[in-house]
Amino acid sequence: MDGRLMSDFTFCTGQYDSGDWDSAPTLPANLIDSVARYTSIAVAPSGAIVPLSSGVVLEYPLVYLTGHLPFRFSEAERRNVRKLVERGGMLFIDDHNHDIGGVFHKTAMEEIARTFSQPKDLPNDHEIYRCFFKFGDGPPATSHELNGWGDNLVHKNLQAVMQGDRIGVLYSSKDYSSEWNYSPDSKRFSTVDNTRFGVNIIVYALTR
Amino acid sequence: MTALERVRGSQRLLGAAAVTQALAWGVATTLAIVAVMSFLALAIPRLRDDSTLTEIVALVFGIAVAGALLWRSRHLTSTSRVALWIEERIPELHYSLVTAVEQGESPFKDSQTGSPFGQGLENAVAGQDVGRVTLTALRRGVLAAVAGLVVAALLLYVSPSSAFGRAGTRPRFSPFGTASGVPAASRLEDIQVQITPPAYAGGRTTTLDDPSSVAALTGSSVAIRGKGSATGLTASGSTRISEAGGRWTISLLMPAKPAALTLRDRTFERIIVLDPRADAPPKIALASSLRDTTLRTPRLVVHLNAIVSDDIGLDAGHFEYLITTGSGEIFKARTITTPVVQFNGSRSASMSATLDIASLKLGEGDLVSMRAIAQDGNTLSGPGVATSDTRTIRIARADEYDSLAIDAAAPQPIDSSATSQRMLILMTEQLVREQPKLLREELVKRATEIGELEERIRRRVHEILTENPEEIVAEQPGDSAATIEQMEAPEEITGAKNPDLVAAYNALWQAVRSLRIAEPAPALPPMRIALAALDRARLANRLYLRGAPPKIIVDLKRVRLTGKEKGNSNTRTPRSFADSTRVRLSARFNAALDLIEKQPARAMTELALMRVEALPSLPDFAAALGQATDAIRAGRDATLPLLRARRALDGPPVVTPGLPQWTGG
Repeated sequence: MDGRLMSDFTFCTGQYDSGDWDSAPTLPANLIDSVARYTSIAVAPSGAIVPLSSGVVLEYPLVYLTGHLPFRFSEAERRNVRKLVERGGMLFIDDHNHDIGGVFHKTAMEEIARTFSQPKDLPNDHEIYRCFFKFGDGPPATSHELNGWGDNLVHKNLQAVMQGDRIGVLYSSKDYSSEWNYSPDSKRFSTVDNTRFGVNIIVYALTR
Repeated sequence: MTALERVRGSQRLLGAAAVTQALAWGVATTLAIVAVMSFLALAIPRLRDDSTLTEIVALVFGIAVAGALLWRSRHLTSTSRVALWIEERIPELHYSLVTAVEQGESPFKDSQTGSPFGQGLENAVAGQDVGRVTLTALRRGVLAAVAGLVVAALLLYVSPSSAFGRAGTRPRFSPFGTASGVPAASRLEDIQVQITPPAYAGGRTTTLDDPSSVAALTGSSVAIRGKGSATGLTASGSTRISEAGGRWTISLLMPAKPAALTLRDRTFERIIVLDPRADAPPKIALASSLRDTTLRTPRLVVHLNAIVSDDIGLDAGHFEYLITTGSGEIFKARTITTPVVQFNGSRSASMSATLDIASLKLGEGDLVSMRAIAQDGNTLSGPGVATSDTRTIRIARADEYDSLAIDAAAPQPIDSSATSQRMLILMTEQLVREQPKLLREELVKRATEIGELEERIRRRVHEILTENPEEIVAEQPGDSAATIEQMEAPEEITGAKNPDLVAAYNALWQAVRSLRIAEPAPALPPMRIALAALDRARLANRLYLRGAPPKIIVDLKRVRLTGKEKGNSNTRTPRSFADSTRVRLSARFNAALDLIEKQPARAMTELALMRVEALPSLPDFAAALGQATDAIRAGRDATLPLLRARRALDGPPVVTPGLPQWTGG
């Protein structure tokens, strides 16, 4: 039979030339664990790390990017991520610095605006907050925000670049990369699993 | 002339009159409908496109009217009905004609004597002018029919319809007066287009003769001029048409996106495709330095050189240095820019700078990101800004002088579902204490159970050592344990990087063997050795190489659907199909080709509109369409450009090597 078979969802961490793309190494396993725990989505047991400059990145419906350092695409990276979003893929970029005055935020916003368009506040009643778990107040706050780290702000909204009527690029200043960067086995110590919003992001990227 | 001959003469006259009236009213109906529809088309442009339908409808109605009138006159075929019709108009005949028709001959005779019977009646008929009376009776109806035909023809003549082979005469009767500058032919032919590029581009004004499309830089001034007055001319959108020196003129700015300018002169229409050429942003590349680097000490003089080019003209450029300091979760950044270099509108240039790293007073772990930035001279929609790829210089930390950047890694996830080694030791110690009191069967049963649990830990350690994820998934609680023969021998563990785990594995192997032969006491020493080794491994510092984070395998079968919280996947919004311009244009292209013979004007309009849509995404197809419309307008054969358009739309033909496989029909 010609053509490719549908494969299990593989969580993809995007590797970009500038900055520390690998600053949250256990986050993928944690979200994979959550997807398996709460949903019936067929998911691969380990994540993939794919250079954004490679066309292979187009095979993944959701690409996660994070870091603390300057965030700049090379021309090849910019071309591929633009193509990914145009073809229906989704980028999830999280500021590991949780600081809107930080270098990651400034450079990432500049790159997003240059590659796509200026991100806008995502309404807190957007479908991504209710496509699996319900988050009535919008994006869940992280312990880093509540503890006054970084810019000492609780960010009320995520930002997004829309591709038609769906999210093409989701940008977060909330530092989910720190919040979710722990071993999945440690979830049993939490009263409420704080990775549930990660499940929403994945469900949204796969089904909307 | 006998009475019967007179009746037949009147019958012929009546028949001819009936046919004449039917034809006249039928034709008049057809003409009137065409005229009325052409007036309505002024208000409803869609009717103009369906002129063939209008003609068919008018013809059907005309035939229907004529047919109905002929049907109403069907009694004229009966001679007795005609005789009665005459008798009705000349009562003095006293049914002489009817009697003659009933007898079937004239002059009629007595059937018994053979003598002329109705000579008196014949004389009475001869005394009346039946022909004149018939003509008089018919005149009104025929004249009315002819009058109706003339009125309908006049209505059609003054209508905007082109039924008379030229434009209608409506403008002559319009409130704008006699419209002396309005020629009978279209004023949309032989136009001239003058293009003046925006001032910042510094280009020359060019003139195009009778083009079907206008390609120019976005923001260019476009002046379209044609012969005749502007009266009655319209253009799409809010485009104004002015008049000077007996010529009409349209002035507009080239839009940012392709557009179709539709011009209308009475029933004539022309579409001009506006094909904007965007001012591309500059291109910039760092010629030096070529790669990132890490310095042990912050002492280096970096020579930066960038090559810049632009399609119109460059304005200025500079280098930017972004210095990031900090570590962990706290970083600070500052930006330094070099003095701006002016390019004065040149299309290509280079710029250079020298950066003394020592002057930046960098510390360990600091990062310098360098890039070049340039902008063009677009003052209309710009400026277009370009940035080069970024080069980074990093100052190494003192503790990473082994040349590799290493950071502490998170501990490997531990399978918490396995009973801990410490618990197994406690269970074994209890079994050893109770051993004297137990029957052999009970001892074997309990030792085997502990052995199976120990075996799970042994296999887990084996999996970590050999990094074989498949076995993690394969093994589940309740699976039959491996037999002693199936257990991997300790010497099979080769190339393992963690000596503590190897020691633990070897000890576990011995412990499992003892427990499976129901000898718990000898199993205890290796179990304790394994526990100590596992603790050492657990507490060890873990390091990983930057760029190669640990690969963590999630035990999906164990985790699957164990979450206590419930999510609800709400009704999914169906994702709309990606809008494929190519597929949509392909369907429209086929429809336009079907129209070329039947409705060439409409086909031309459709091809021009398709070209506008194709310009941004399918430039080859748009170019071929432009050639096709030019050829059709000039009366040339458009087959080749249409074929090129088809090829551009569908791609090259698919070549199948050999004959296709027979599929049984």
